[in-house]
Amino acid sequence: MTTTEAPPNMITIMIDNQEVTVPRGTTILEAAKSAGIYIPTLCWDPKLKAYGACRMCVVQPEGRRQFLASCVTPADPVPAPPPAERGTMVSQSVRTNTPEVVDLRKGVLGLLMSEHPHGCLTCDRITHCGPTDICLRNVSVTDRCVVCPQNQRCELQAVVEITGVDESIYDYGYRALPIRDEDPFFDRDYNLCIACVRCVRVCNEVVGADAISMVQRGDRVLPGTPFDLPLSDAASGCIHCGACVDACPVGALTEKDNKWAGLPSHTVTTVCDQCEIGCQLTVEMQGEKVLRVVPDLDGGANGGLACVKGKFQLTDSTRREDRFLVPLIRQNTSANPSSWDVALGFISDALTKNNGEKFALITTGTSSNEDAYLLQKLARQVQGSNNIDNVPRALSPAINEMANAVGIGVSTNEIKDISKSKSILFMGADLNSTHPVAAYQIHKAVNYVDADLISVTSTTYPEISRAATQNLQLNNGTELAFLRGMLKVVFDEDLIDQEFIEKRVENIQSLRESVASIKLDVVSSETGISVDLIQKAARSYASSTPSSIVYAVDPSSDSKGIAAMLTNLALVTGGVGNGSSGVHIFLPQGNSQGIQDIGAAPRDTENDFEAILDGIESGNITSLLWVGDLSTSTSFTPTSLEDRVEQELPDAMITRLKNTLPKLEFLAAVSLAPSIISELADVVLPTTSFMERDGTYTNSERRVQRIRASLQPAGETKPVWEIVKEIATNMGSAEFDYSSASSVFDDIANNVETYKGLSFERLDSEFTGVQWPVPDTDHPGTPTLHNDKFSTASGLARVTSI
Amino acid sequence: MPETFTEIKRTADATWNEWVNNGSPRIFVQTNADSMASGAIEVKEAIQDTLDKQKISADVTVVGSQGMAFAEVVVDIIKPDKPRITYGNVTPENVPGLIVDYIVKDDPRPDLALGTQGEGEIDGIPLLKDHPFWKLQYPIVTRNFGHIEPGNLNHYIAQGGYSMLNRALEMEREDVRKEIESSVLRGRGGALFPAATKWNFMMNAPHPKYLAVNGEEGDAGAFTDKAIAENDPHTLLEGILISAYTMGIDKSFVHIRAEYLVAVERLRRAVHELEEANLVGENILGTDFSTEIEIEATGHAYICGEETALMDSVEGKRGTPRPRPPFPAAYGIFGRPTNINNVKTLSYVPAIFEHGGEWFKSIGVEAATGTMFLSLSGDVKHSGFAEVPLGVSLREVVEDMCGGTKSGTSFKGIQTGGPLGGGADWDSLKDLPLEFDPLNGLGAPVGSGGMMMLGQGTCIVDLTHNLMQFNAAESCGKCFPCRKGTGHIVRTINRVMTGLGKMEDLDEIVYMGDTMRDGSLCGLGQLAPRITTAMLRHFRSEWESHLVDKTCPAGVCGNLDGQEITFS
Repeated sequence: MTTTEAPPNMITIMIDNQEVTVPRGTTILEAAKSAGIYIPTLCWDPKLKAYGACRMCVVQPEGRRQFLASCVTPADPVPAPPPAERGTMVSQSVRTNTPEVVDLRKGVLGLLMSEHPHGCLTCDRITHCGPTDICLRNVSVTDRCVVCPQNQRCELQAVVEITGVDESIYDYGYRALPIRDEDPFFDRDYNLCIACVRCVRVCNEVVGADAISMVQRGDRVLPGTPFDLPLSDAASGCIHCGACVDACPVGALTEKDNKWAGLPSHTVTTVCDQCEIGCQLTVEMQGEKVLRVVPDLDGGANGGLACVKGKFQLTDSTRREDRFLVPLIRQNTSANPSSWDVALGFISDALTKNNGEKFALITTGTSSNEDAYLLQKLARQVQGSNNIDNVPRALSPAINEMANAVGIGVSTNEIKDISKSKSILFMGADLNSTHPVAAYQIHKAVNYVDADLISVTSTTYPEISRAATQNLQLNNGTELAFLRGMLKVVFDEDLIDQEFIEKRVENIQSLRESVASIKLDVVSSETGISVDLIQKAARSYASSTPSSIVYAVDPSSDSKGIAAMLTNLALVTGGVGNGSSGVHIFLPQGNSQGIQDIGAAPRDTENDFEAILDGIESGNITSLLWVGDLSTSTSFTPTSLEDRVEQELPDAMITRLKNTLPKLEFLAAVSLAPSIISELADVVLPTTSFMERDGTYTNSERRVQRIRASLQPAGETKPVWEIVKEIATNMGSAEFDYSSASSVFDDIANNVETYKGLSFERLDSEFTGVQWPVPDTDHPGTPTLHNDKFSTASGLARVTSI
Repeated sequence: MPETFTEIKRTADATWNEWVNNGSPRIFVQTNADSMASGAIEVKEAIQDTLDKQKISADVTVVGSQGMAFAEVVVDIIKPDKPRITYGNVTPENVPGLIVDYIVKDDPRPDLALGTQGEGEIDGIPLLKDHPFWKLQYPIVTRNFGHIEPGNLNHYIAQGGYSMLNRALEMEREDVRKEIESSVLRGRGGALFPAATKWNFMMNAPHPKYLAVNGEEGDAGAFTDKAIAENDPHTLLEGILISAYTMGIDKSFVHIRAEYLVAVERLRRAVHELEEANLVGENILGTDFSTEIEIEATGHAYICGEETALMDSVEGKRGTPRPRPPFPAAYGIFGRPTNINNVKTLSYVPAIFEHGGEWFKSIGVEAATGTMFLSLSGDVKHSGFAEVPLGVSLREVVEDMCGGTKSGTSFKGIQTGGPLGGGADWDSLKDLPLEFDPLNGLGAPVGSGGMMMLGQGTCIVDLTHNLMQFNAAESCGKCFPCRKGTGHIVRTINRVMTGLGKMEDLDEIVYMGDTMRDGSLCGLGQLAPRITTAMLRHFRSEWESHLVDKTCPAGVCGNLDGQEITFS
């Protein structure tokens, strides 16, 4: 296809005599980048609003002695100069590299270098020197680049080199500021700071922590904390996400771990397992050592962001000192180490004895898709049992409730759609500690598009409520009543999307009738929220497009019915199946979604978690294979820096498990480290951490992403799929002939409809992962569900009656 | 609450007449922040004391200052049926004598008198308008200064105030704008952008839209915004209301320096009175026009006078300039269309509207219409503020009006337009008219009207250092060239002042100045090096004698022996 003229929403601009066509509103810098033209920058960050401070990106309009900061200047046509008629617009034509431009850049860099240590920057020997070499020019240690932790990763270094500054024109003075090393994860050395404000901007604009701000003015301006407190102080508001460290172009902010270790030998791109966001991370390795973790700018779910768990604590589970390294077999009260052969034989015998409906399998969200697939295959094919369930599903009725309404119990939209919403209804757990990157998206919506954030909470006080425009703290456990109140307002004030309902929704009449009996003043007295506020919240959500519902499942509270009611709200107002509007449900644990897709879930309620525990109590189920670890997610609060808080299962469920599991004849646990399950198990098989194995995870937005091993398995640990393969082979099955995780995945693609078009090769080449359904290998993936029809049998959504 | 403007006006006139014709002597104490510093409050107490002791019945009123800062404290006495006599240099010590002599003994004390104002003459005392300081003046903005109690709504209305608002409210918005456009009123904040053209961007902008009034007057040697806010706040407020009506403004933010305590207090009082009289708020004077005025005492930062930094400041953020585009008329305060005008610009609006654009044009010259409200300071006999028609010669302003140097030496030059302005030597300036373009071409822009006259006792290097220090301290630190450049120029000049400099330092200053001018984000950074380049251009020999001969011609920089002086 050839076009002679740009479409109306496209504009053209001449950059260095090269014609570039970009959408209207694109900045000159972005246009140049799209055409592969380099313009140096220091304060520009793709994650942030353009700021226009460093003046490195200046360009010159053709034939005029004028300088435009290209990061903030739109590439749009400009009024023609005087001889032309008023109102005539002409395309811009700019030069990025005239002598004047280069001279200006050099002038600014000269000023910058007068405060930034740069002994090696202008030295032609820089490529020959290492940190321990004696400097032939006697440059003091604080002024040398080769001893800077950011050496060769420094943006200033790169810009100086490309611009061609080869002497420092102004007097230099070391600022001799104290190095702030009291924070837990990173050091702040403001002697190196160039005041580009990227750290402050990412903290305020995107993360929403507001922990740092610029202090002082003029050439004393520097980032600082409230009252100059250390960031480890809870009052600073820092959530230690490390976004500032990733944003810093120089060595002012550096990770504490391996600060001086130098450059990585290689990198491994993998996906964080700590929550259901699935942040893509680049793990920088030096041989067998993890140097640092950098969130991947191209990451489909996170786009260059991460939280403290991914950025600084990724290796914590791998490095746990109490990890199981060899199989253990319990004899009387003590668990004794054994060889794999003995342990596998022991398990095979026990499972053969207790097969059929006497066998049950429970897995957790730490299993990869490959693990889950072989597990359910073991249960269904070898053992002939349908007693399969998983912990995330047991903890949250949301999956089922949503599936009843729209066909599939999964978030309908991409996570980044949240940031485009005009109105966001938030409910559930403290998103900032359970799924921080989703919280950033909410902050972005509030900051960038002035979204109305309605935060509905009762027992907890989520951090995100601070940003709420409508912060509604209900009486304990009255969320459901409140949502019914909102529905009542939506129907009473005719805020429903009649056209959408007629075309796409059924069962509306029964909902309308049941809503009619609700009385707002009763709801108000029950929830403790005035009628006005209920109305205001309902009006805001129902009348804004796009809108989002964000629900972080809180395992510790009774959440029955909430997801159903949220889905109702979305359905009657057209807030789902409708472009960027959607419902986002976040479950605990990294691969909670994948294990549902793969089939490590019951086909009906007769075999679910409750039924399995009942079966154990009644003696119908005599053997249980429990795979995975129990902590639902790693939660982190700034006040308890020292302890990694592990949110275990709700107390009631732990008690139930402790009482029930000893009734089993045989309990096998496949686990990373001790838990209440492994303490009760007859056999414990040690497994690899997610950093030691290959596979795929599926995040909450259905994005299937590759996890890649960056470390060798510790001790004798093995990945779960390999353990299952060996058990099954031991038991005489010939169906488990898999050579690698990749071959397991090929089998998944053959059998799971929504994964049909996927393979390891495709996921490796399409680096950001693909969102299912992917019916064939050419299908690009499905970012938004239910756009034309819902996934139910009839294609219509079915609202849930109250 | 009075319903119509006629009723308001009637009440105001009655109050005014009662005050003027009450039969007893009236004593005015010209009070603003400057005269308070010179003891105006003590003088007023002394007057009251004397009156009490002598059992004289007289009315003592605080009025605005007429700008004669050289003669603080200024007190006027009006005896019934006598002209008003203005006395200068009044102190608590000479007050009792003055009161007793004039009011009791009927001796007008010509030794203390500056002149008489109004009808009639008194033997031995000249007319004030014949005083050299007053000869050139043409009061438009300052017409009420010293004649009414500042912020007293009745006084202002009795002098004809708010009748123009009343008239404007009955006209089409576009017609009001056209009237101002015909006057070619240019922005008096220093940028000289035609005010009515700026308003035009706002006429069809969507609601809500805001008006930002820039009174963040941080320039060293500029005090005219303060003068207006202190001495006649209602002129400003009427100008704001007429502009607000014209552009359909929903809310005006008057951003006035927090350090201007008297100005803030008087403005607040004035707005309060307006609210009581329904001249601001919902349905003003019964029309369907509603607008609000908020006095924002914010700042403590010079940069907040930059238009976009001011907007951040009004929003409650750290005041740093925003990149443009988007321009304020599209994306201003809280992201809404915003017009921004200087206090002085808006204060001209009621008078222009009253007498017509053609009248205003007839006052100045073609390229610079109207008057210029000047802040006169430095080495002159008559310092203070004065309003003169544009186009008068600088020689008249400096030699006649200001009365020559206080030190008795000859003039060396003038520093104009504050720290972001410039300056030139007296020889190049003396034959020029007070106009925008010729002065700009010389590197001595009029700016917001600040003029600091320099005698031979001023060292240019020291002065430049001082003003650049101001620029360095007030740079917000956002864009790199300004953040580092201002500080560097200060350090380089410091070397020159202390005898450590080399001739190459001067080239370095010029190069740094070019980087800042071309590269900086906002006006502060672009204009900050201007003072240095102007002073280098006009006084190069003085710089060179510091560098080569190691002497300071003015004898200010005593320490040219290479000992670095540390400045805090």
